[in-house]
Amino acid sequence: MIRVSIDQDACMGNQLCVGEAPDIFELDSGGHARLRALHFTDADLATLRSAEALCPMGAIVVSVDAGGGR
Amino acid sequence: MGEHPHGGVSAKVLAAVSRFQPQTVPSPAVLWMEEAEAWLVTSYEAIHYVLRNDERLFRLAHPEAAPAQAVAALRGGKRTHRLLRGDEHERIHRWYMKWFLPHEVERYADLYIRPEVELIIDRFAQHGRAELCHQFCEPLGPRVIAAVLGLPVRSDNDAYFQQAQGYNDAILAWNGAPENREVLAAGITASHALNEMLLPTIRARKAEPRADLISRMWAEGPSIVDGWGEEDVLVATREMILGASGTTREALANALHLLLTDRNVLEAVLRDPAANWPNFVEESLRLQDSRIIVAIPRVANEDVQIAGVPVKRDDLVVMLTDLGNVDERHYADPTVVHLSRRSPKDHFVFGAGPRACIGANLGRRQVRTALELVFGRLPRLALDSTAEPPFRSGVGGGFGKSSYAPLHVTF
Repeated sequence: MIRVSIDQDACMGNQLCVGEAPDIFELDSGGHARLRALHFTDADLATLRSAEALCPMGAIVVSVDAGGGR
Repeated sequence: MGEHPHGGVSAKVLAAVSRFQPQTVPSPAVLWMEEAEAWLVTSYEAIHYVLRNDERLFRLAHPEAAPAQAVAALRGGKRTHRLLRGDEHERIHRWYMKWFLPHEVERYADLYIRPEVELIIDRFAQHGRAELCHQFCEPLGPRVIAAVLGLPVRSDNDAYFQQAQGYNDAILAWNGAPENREVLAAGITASHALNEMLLPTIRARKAEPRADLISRMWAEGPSIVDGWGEEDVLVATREMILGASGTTREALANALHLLLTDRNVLEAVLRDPAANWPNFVEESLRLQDSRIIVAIPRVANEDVQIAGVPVKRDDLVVMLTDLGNVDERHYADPTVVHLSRRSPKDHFVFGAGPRACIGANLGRRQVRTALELVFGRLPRLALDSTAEPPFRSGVGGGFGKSSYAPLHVTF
């Protein structure tokens, strides 16, 4: 299972995640990033890792449980 | 309005803010300054709000007011990311950020940063004394970015780097004198000369790509931007050089000053170097912008509320990030180095939001590596009490000369 968390305290609204993965991330009304989806497949993993790496604040954490995505 | 052609504040706004000179976040934290015709935004929360809503609720301060042809001539081309907006800016900015992802920067650290730092230290390590601003802080950034880009210049070619710095100084001089046609003309002349230094390599890499950043620009650019061409590669190369030079010097000089003037901080860092150096670098950056004025302008796209204060569409807002970086409502003991803050990177030195600094990771790594190596090789490094002490001007940030100098040391 792929899990994605966003540390709202760390998020500085750089919006790189939204640009990189607009189907997965969006901005809330306050300009912070949030997830548009809660379930991810293996096909999403590369994009998620890219967004995770792009975030200058390390606010996005992507983890994969044994067994991968649904 | 108080805008500036390159996106900084005008001399009028800067003078008004200088006279105001708050030492801490005032109340209210968002206040109208009549002589600047601008809102001053001073608290961490309010600055954070403006920056993360940049490009939506706010925009660059009147880039249209700048003579576009002049800015393009100074920057090397029309598509400088500093003036782009909307989708085009977002695509280019995000692409640039990928050049400096953590794993890329670690690769640069092995290939370029550590070797360059060692070479620079080699040049003065046997002398027992040095002036670190000139001999250590200044050379590092330009040499590292030249290596990353793939420019065919040796680290010891001081004449090349001095010439390039001279051109950049002339180009940036327009920041302080936007009405001066002579300064503009000199800047454009310098810009053309800098282009002539860079274009042979840019053209060579198009013909024969190598494993360097200029080659990567050629390879990837067409899929990012329509009509990507030589002018775009030149603009991107120029922006990387400009962004990686003075800022690295300032960050490193201020970090050194902090460590050399407070041995307690150095001792605390050295108790667990691997864990503490990165956090020290962040604290040093956060504190380096305090006690000077750093004013970042934006314009409201619509009527908004900033920290409960109504701001009208097209009003100029000027963020004093130096105050935000030491806001006691956000930072416990804000003027003290803490090596274990929960979010050590959440200061505003690299901006925030969609125009956050592209090269932040590279800058951080350079400062960290330089500090690790210089204190590792010269453990008795200390300020020379018989020489001129360090001094710092009160205005700067970004590309301004706002670092402590000189840094005469013995070891």
